[in-house]
Amino acid sequence: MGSQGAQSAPGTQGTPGGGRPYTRRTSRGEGFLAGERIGPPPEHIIETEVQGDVSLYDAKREQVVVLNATASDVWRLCDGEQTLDEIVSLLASAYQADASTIRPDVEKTVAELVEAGFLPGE
Amino acid sequence: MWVADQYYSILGTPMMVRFEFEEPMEGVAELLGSFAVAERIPVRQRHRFSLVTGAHKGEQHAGHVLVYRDCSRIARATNLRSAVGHMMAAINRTAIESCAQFAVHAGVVARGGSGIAIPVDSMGGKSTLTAALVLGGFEYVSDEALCLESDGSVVPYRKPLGLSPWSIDALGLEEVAVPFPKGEGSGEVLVPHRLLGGSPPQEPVTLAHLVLPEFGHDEASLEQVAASDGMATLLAMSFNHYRHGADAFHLAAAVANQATAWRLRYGDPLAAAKLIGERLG
Repeated sequence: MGSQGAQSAPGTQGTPGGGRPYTRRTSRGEGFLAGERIGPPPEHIIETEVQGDVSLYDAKREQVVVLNATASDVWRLCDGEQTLDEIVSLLASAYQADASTIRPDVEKTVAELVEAGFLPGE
Repeated sequence: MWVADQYYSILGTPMMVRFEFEEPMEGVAELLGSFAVAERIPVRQRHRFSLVTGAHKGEQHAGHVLVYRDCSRIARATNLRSAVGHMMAAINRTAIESCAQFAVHAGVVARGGSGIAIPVDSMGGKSTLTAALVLGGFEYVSDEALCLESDGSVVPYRKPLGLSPWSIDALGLEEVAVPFPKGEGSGEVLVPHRLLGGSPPQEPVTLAHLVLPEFGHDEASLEQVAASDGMATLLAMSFNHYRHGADAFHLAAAVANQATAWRLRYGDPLAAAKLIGERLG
């Protein structure tokens, strides 16, 4: 994002970040535990919509991420009420897709949002 | 000895420009007057720019023209025209750094109150595309910055267009009598929009289109892209988002929601301007 501060290069659209397989950095080095809820985002994360797609601004670190339609749907479900399994299930139903097919993309999106600081992680 | 102090307001920033030459210099007033509002009454807290004949500052500067900004020397040019180019570049930087608006690196034109912005980095062809659009009949808003008030309205910043030799050739402007080069050694020239037949916007401008250019294609084409592409580009090309990050974020989103974003692929700026005129004009 410009000469200082936040980042919002077009290349970061879609799922944010670099795209390696998700492993959450817990003290035991494991991924999300079964039943663990995802989110909600910290208070300093500001959200807006641009023609249906979510954009996020981290007011503490002055970072911006612009999400595509699919990542926006994942984000909306990261409200602290759903587990990863439930998010995958809800999206599979909405997209009429197989849960095992979309699960890697959902995990990757959540992982990158956690890693970028837009969702809480340990 | 000719000494002239002139007072301007550029994007709301008061500036004083002083010339100290043997003779009056024609053309400077037009360069500044094209984008600056002349003020009659000096006000305090202004930036001050001076062009001084080198001989007045000591023998070591004889044969040069010195350019100052707020008492610091910023250039030592071998001729007056290059010195003017240096001064104009410094005035431009100061105006953008000081402006209160959300400013994005972009060329901007308008027609009937509908603005078209071309956000792209330096050397990305925005001045050439802007000049081509002005030659095609669009009103000139800026070849440098899309300046947005908090309500989304566009503030014109009609500085002289900076065009490279390639641009001059591509636009067929070899015969235009350009009064001043942009800067020593840069090869660029400063062209007042009047020389391109450009007129200022006739009514308040609201942004209707964001055109994201991609140079290097044989055929000119326009393809609508996601509004989020427009938002990401606005923030990526912003000069001053960091001052009020959350405000810039919300304003970029509001503008991206109101405007249509397009990907422009092109090689010939005149063909691109014709296509934009046909599709978006």
